[in-house]
Amino acid sequence: MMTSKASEYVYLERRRYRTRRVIEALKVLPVLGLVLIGVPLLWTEGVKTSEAMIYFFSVWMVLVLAAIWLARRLGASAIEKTLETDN
Amino acid sequence: MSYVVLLFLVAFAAERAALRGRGAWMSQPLVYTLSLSVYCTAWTFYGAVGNAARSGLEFLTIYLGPTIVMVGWWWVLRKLVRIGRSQRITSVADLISSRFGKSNLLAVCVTLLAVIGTTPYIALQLQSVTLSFAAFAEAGGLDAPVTDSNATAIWVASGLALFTIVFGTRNLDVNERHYGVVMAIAVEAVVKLCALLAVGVFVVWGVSGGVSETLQRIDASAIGMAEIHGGRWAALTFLSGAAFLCLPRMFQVLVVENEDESHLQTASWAFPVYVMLISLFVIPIAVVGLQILPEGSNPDLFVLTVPLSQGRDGLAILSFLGGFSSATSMVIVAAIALSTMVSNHIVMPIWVRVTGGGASMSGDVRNVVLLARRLAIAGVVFLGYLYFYLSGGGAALTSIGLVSFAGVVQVLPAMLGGIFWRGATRMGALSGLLCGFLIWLFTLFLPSFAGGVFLPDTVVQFGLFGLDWLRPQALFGIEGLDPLVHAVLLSMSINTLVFVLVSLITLPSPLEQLQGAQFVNVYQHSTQQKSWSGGVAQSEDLMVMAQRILGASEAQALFQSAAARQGISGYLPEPSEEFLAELEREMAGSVGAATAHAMVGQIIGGTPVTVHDLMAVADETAQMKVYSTELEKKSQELARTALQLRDANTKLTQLSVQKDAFLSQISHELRTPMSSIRAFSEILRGVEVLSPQEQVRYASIIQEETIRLTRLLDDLLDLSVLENGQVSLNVSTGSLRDLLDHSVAMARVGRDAAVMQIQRNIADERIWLCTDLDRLNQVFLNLIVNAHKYCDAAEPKLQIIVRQSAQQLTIDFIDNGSGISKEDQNLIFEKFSRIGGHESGGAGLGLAISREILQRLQGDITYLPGQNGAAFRIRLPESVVGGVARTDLSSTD
Repeated sequence: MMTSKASEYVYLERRRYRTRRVIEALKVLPVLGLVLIGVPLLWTEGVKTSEAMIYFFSVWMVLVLAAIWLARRLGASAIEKTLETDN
Repeated sequence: MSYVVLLFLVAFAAERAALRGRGAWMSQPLVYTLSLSVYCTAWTFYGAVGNAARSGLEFLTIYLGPTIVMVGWWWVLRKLVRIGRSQRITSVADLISSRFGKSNLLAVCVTLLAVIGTTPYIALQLQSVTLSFAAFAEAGGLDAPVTDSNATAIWVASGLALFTIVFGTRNLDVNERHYGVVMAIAVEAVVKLCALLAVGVFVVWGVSGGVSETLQRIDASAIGMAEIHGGRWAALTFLSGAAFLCLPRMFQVLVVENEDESHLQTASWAFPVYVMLISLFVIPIAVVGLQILPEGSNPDLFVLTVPLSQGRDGLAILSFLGGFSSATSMVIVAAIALSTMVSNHIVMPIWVRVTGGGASMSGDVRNVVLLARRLAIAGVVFLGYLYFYLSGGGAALTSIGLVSFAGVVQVLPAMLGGIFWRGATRMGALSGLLCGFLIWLFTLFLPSFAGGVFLPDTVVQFGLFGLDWLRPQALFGIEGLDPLVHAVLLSMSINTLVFVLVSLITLPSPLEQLQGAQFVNVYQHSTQQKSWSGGVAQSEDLMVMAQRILGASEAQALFQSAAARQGISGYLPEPSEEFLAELEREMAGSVGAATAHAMVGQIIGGTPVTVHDLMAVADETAQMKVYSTELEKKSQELARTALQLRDANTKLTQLSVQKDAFLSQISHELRTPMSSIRAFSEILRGVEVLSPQEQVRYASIIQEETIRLTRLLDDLLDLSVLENGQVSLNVSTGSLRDLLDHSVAMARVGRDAAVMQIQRNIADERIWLCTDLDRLNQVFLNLIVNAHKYCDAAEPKLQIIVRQSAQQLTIDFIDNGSGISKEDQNLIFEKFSRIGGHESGGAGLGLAISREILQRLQGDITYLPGQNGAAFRIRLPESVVGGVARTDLSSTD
């Protein structure tokens, strides 16, 4: 909804901008995850299982934390907002 | 031991039954997340460790795939959930068939695929239960001998089927939600996790003595070096991620049982946490098991056997329960999902067709549906048992699970294509599905039956029909690939290729296109689900609309009464179901039911308009248009008719007035001579002394008057005959001259011949006429007599001038009297009009009769002004002139 006050308009714009960026980050996250998981496929020399285990679980933690952070940034109302520009 | 097991079973059942009652805190994102854990079945509980013991870290791929899918929820899951909610999707088969034009064929195919694909997985659960049971019983030293694994499996299968039937088909929820089962699954998820974590903790700190020691153990073990085969890893990650979406049980808990889209947001990180925790201790357990337990022990059961071997019976029981619950939850949810598909898409269509359709949701249909569900549940579970029996129960759990995954995943191209690509068509989906299914069947499913049950070994070795490139595990000569990778790669790529190609070639039907738009553009068509009460704002909109259709006062009265019933003061009631239904009913009276429904639905925003609704609205509109056009035509006709009636009425009134005038005139005319006759007759009769002259005189007067009366009546009759057009014309031929001679002679009868001089030009009168000569004579006579009577010149003279032109014949009768004044010129041709009073002895009808006669003869008679006397012109059309005038030798005068 448009208001006459310029300052409010700018404020709303910024919020929408931020939400849009969060959504973009959400879209990038799984791609990042795939890349990170694919890295071990490129290890040429032998890797110790324990090290590999640590790597994988760290990646897992990173993904989870990122998902938590992004979900909180998105907020509960974002889904309802008419940001449904993507298909 | 077994008693304890049974006790726990009962406890579980009771718990589930009790939880079904509580609804308030069921819609929590946590419950939703935990219910997703049905992904982790006995395969996870037992098979992960087994896989780890054999192949190291590969088992991680099974959980990394779903992690990526959940973390990337914005891409696919969000859309799937939105579509599922807005289209009220009840299963995978429903999704696919609904997207592609509500095609039942597709639904049947997907259902069959799902059933065939899930059967091995159910068998796997049964196997794990029987194995764990056997291990438990063996270690526990039961009194009774270890039962045959098949018998155990039968018991377990029957128990599961019974439980599912009892708790999964209590009632029919329109949205296919099973709240009790979801709660039970959530609880089992916790048990699973706790059990596995407990064993893991025990292994790491109890057996190995700490994290670093555990890590050392790992590196020193047989799986110390991480072997990561790129192809297999990629394929497995893809497979698990895809299966996460396509598995019937996963679709059920992810989409169908979803209460709120925002739960998905929470699950996006909570579920990865869950699977991460589940997988955390798998390697340690595997390693410890490898080291502690004797060679050849089944690594799949390490989770159970390790605690048992260490004498931790309590832990072992917990572990057993964890494994048992994970197996049972899978079977329950899968059975529900599959039975829904089977009953909705296979049984019900057949039943409807057999019973002739048209059945609403009466008690009969409900019972049939419930029965179909129950039978389907039992059937599916039994099929799983059958597979278990036929597969010999010896194959490694891992491979069975992956075979199942690879089969179910064949739905993926149709699913993703359906929700993202508007160009996807039904034929494309069907063909892709079929191709993928066949390849899967040939490369994975049939070979999985050990001992060449369905596929002889020769085929495996040498290819179908002996063709080398049709070897199940090396189709098209692609050798050297792990069979699973080979199967997945080929089936998915050919499936997708065929799907895309056929979709590009074929045209979707209108319903398909509509569904395509609704699915792909679902965000534009739906909002986040709101409860029905939109509140006051919507009521206001409704009021505006209702006022326009029902009229202000009626709408307000309706709304006010509804509000009063709801206990709200004022004009705006809450848009409750009953009020909306009532409003729809009222409006349907004015605009039609379909339009009313569409309008109300649009404002409330709840109901999406179906194609049938739209077509009904269009029908109604067309009907109304036709109706109103007809109404318009009718009203125009009526207006015309009214106009005609008015004209006729005016004419009739005029005629009536004329008739009255005529009648009064006639009676006046008749009365005068009648009174004379009466008077004189009375005198003749009454008076005694009358001289003979007086008698003769009076008698003559009476005679004259009667003659006059008779003449008048004759004239009247004549005139009326002429006016009514009932006169028949006697057409004859003769010369004009002769006719005029005749007329003049007749006119002179009874009059003094020398009084009036008549001038004629004989030469001009040599015209041959073909018309009613008698009537014409009558006219001439009338004019000549009039001239005799009214010409007041000293020496009266009458001229008769005949002129002939190409178009007409004119005969003028001109006298040398004083003529007729201007005002009288208009009146002379009217009935009963006489100049100069009644003394002249005529009735005043002569000229009127003459005019009528001439009109019948297609001519006319007019007064000619400015001729120094009364002048009448008779005009006859040229058609009366016929032939060549005869010369005649009669004398003139």
